[in-house]
Amino acid sequence: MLTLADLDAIAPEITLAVTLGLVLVLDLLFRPAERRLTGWLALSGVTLAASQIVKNLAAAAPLPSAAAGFFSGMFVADSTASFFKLIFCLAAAGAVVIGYRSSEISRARHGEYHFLLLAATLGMCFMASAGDLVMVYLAVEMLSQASYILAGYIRNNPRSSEGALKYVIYGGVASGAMIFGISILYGFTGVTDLVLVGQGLAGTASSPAALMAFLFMLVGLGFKVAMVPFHMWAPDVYEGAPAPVTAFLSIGSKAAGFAVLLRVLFSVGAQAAPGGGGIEAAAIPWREMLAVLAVLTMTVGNLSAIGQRSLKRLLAFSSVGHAGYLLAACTTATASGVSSILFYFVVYFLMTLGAFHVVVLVSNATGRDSDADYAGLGWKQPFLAATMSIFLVSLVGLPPTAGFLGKWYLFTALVEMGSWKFLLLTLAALLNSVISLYYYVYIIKKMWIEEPAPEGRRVVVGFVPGILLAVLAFLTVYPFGYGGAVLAAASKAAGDRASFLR
Amino acid sequence: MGHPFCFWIAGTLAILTALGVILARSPLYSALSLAATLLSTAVLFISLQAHLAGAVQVMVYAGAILVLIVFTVMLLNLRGDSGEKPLRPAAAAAGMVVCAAFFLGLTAFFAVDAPTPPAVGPEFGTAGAIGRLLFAPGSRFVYAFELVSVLLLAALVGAIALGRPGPEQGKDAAS
Repeated sequence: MLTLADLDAIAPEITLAVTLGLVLVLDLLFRPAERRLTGWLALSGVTLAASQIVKNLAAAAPLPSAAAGFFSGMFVADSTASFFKLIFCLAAAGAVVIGYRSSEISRARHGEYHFLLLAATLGMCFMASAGDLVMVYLAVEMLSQASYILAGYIRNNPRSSEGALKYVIYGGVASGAMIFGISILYGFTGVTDLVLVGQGLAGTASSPAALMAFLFMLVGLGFKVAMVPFHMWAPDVYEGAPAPVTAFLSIGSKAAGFAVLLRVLFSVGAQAAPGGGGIEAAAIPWREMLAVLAVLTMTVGNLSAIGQRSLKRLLAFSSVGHAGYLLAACTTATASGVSSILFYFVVYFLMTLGAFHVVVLVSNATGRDSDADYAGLGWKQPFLAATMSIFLVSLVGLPPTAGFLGKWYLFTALVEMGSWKFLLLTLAALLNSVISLYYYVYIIKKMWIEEPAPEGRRVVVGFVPGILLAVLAFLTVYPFGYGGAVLAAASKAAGDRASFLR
Repeated sequence: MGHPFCFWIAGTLAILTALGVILARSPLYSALSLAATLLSTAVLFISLQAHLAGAVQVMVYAGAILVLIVFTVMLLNLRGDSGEKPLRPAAAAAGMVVCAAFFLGLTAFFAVDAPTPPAVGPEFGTAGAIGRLLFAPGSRFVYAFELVSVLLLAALVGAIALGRPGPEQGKDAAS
């Protein structure tokens, strides 16, 4: 039955949905040249939703039945989900701000751009809170539908269309596999609630068919987080999509994928142990499977990034690599593992948004996306090159940047597990960080050591983008001011999930 | 459970016509094979007492969506070859091997002690039961049903955003 507590828990989503409707109506009232003003509405809606999330997160006493779920278990509003939702709101706000001046989105289509961004954000929020197989599928579809359109948003651009088409085809196959897995799970257990599915499987989980169903679900979720071997869409979509959309997808979509992956793994995978023996006794060997996939993902991602000429493709493969590190942390299934993932996403948001913002500015000025445009940038435009270098160094994970802190916590969570398997996993992640050093530093070298091309055009950095870049770069290079607070919030949020696990 | 005879006939037909969808050279034949596949699946649904799923399959998929596909094929005049090269034998063989391995794997997985599905009542899957699941006050799926409406709205706006011709393109280039 619907109660007021239900409405309280879902308030951020209601705000987003109302804003979405308002944007759609306002878009029709404005003249084409003014339509990007809907961005202000979108921004305020996202901010309001974020403030409601913070209110839910900071509530002295957690909402009653937060872990058990609202709407009879369809919607789970635990604090891990709220933390993820904050990241989605940040990513959406970032995409609105960067997209405001992007030359890739035509003036008249800004209204629909903001509408689709909000729809994708809403889908992400529902993904983080999905407590039921039906909700998992619907929320993933909601995000996917909006992302397919956003990926193909540049008109008359073959690359954009190609990326979007590949995204649709791969996405269709992945979601088909996922709904197949979901239907098998439902067939075995007769329920769709995630926790009940886990309990229902507990008696029968040694069956290979349950493993198969679980694997099928992993295909759909792995596609969202760009896990190898379901990462093929990433480079084409990242290259073809408008850069603000790319930044939004690489942060938001990945975070949403992890949010729902964690919930499915912990509620279905962990509970599917005969006699409820905890995660160690889980009959579906998902930790081992995930560890292998994590190593594959980081290695393939980082090796493919070497030699990429397009910056967007390079960042795409690098994001595949980062998905590998995060997947490795998922295998720990501990509170510190989850909190390190949450913390990493905050850091990842800062550095990825910053790097993509520089790419937007440069490709706006040159009309293309090639590493040749970065040659000698340090001599012509030290501010732009310096901020870009900071973001790249942080993506490698070198001290003293935020990326270093993020990786430090990820690897600590792995090492804390103590067993040699996890040490091996950490070693693989460390080796991969070294590989990634090569291609990130390659760009830095290009910016500072090489001579500028004579015909190179000056990149215009406006006032607002300049401030945004400076703030992002400062937060990236000096994480000590806020890192402790964020980590404390992340561990508080993750502790909640750990209780869900028991 | 319907008559096993019914299952075997409809199942075989579904597989054969599904092969027809991907093997036919002409898009129109592909579309018509798809109609046959969907109709055989509908028969399977109905033989499992899932009358509503069967009816929806016929009305929505075999009816509305296929008519749209056939219209598109006819309007765009996509008859015969579209000039694309036939699949290379090596690629076709690789595809078949993967499909066969997948099929055998799935069968093997299900043959080895698959959990017995919980028993369902006679009401299960009927239009009344599904209606109560979706709309009855207090049903948990009311919430999912509302989400579907937002999902469809997003898809609708997205389709318009992609498909709308852009008269403003000239102005854009100037601004």
